[in-house]
Amino acid sequence: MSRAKRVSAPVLDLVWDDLRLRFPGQKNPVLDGVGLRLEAGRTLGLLGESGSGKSLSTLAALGLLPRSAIHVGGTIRLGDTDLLSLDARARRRLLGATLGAVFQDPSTALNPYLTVGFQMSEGLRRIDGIPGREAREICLEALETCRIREPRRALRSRPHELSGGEKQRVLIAMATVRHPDFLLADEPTTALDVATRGAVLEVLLERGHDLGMGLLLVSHDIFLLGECVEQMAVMYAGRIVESGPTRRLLTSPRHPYTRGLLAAAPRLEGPRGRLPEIPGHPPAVDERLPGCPFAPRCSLALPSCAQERPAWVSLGEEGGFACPVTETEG
Amino acid sequence: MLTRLLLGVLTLLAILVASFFLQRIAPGGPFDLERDMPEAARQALIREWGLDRPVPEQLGLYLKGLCRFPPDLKRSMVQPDYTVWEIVGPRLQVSASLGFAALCIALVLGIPLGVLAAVHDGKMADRVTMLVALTGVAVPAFVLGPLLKWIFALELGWLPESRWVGPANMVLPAFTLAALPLATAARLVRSEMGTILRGDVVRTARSQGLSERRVVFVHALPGALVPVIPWLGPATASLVTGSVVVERIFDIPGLGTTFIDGAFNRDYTLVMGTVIVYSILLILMNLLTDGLLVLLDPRARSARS
Repeated sequence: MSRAKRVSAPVLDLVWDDLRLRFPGQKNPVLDGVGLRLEAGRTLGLLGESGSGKSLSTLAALGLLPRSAIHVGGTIRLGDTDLLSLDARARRRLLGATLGAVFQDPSTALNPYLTVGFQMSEGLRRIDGIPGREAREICLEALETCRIREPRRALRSRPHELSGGEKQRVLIAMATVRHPDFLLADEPTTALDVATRGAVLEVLLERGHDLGMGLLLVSHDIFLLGECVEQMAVMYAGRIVESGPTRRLLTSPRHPYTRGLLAAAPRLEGPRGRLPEIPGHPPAVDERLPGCPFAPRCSLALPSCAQERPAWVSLGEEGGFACPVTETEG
Repeated sequence: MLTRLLLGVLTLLAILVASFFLQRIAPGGPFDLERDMPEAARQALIREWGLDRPVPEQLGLYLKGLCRFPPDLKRSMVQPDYTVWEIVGPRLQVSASLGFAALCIALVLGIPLGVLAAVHDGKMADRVTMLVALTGVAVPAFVLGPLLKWIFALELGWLPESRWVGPANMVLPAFTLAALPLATAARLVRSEMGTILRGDVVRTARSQGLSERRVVFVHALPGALVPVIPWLGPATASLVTGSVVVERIFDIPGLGTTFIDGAFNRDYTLVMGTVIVYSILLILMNLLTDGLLVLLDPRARSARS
């Protein structure tokens, strides 16, 4: 196993605070007040359907948003540093060193013209100034801990010679080769074969644990997240609608959307039958209501839900949610 | 590769047959221009060249000559003191150096311009570059050539206005000829580079914290050059047609001029010789770009090693 991260300074939390983003041509913000806290060394799952803004929230922290995105308000802070106000150079210095990232599609993420070894060691050589031979050893070790078979061969090969699962392992090794404090993984197993998903996810979690990284795992699969993260946040139409410890969310969800997701997901145990589904579909950015964006699909919705933005109900250690209807429940 | 080579030979044959017949369909013949030639002498020449026989038979005889080694391109019908090769050879040298210079200018300036435009997508540098490129596509050589000549030769006197005696004579025609392929190369690279810069490979490279220069030149550029390679074939074709015009404008004794003069004079053998040289050039260029593409494809590359 890999050596643990040498702790030089106390690692700070990565905090999204009321982040709001807009795209030109849309009147509503695409991210409408995203608040997340990724604690150092802990795991956080970000759950949402496609289009809910979970990828944008991730990219915003990395400074890799599309150039047209407009920052309307809010911050992403690492300690006292507001990542969104850093200049390009300062932000670049964080990437790979403090923030690592793994994305969805491993088949297109690696450079087809360069060997795995070259791409993997580039940050070590070019930014940390580690000589080639030594950088190669570090890469080998990272590949080994990510359980790549024949890591020496993998270093010499080009991406098309690897399988999808191997590519994603390489990308995980590559994102963590400089031992960042946080790893942001955006749907890291969604594009993979079902058979390899579990193994790759395991590698990701293990690597995060070994290096003591804070891990943000983005997914649309509530049970996948349920099995591997400590904290969870549920996103709907650009907002966080519920968050808290995974256990609480799975056992006593408070937001009707979280409840719908849990009910709609298939399970192996229990009687079979038609799965209850959430009627309707998520609204497009400009179809979102001023109040609760989930109101049109919600069986509990009151007439006021469509107009009044639901306040955040805090449950203390148990997180919180944004629904005035279920707030009154015991 | 062997199939492609065979296909190239077939293409060449098809071009030869087509141009042979097209020439004979065009009114007039090689000996019509000399008005004071006695009718009997004219008939004797026609018989001597075999022009009184059926066209397919003429074609057969011509192709038979080509199959010899070295291929027999015959003598020029209008200048019978020279073989076609004696006329075409030196002129090919002139045209080839002009075309090669133009292609180099197009690539050396066009590719960086495309990169510059893609990196500054939508900003001033992009707009200016693409305006220049659009101008390069839109302004024909017969406008650009005289314009450059007027400014740099006649007004400023920096460069010779025409003829072909030294390297300085090459500058204006080469740039005139390069304008169109330069613009095309810039647009090709800009478009591909733009796609790559918005793509996953660059996102990964950026997420590593690499400098923007490294992202652009190490991670994005190789992919952006790929569409330039298959384009080299058609680009050569456009250089060939362009050179016909440019050689006229700058009074250059090249193959283009030979081709036009040959066609005007109905110098059947000279035109056929020129057609053969042009066709072989284009077919070879296309074969070469196909080969290059295979060579650069990472899949094919590792299959060999």
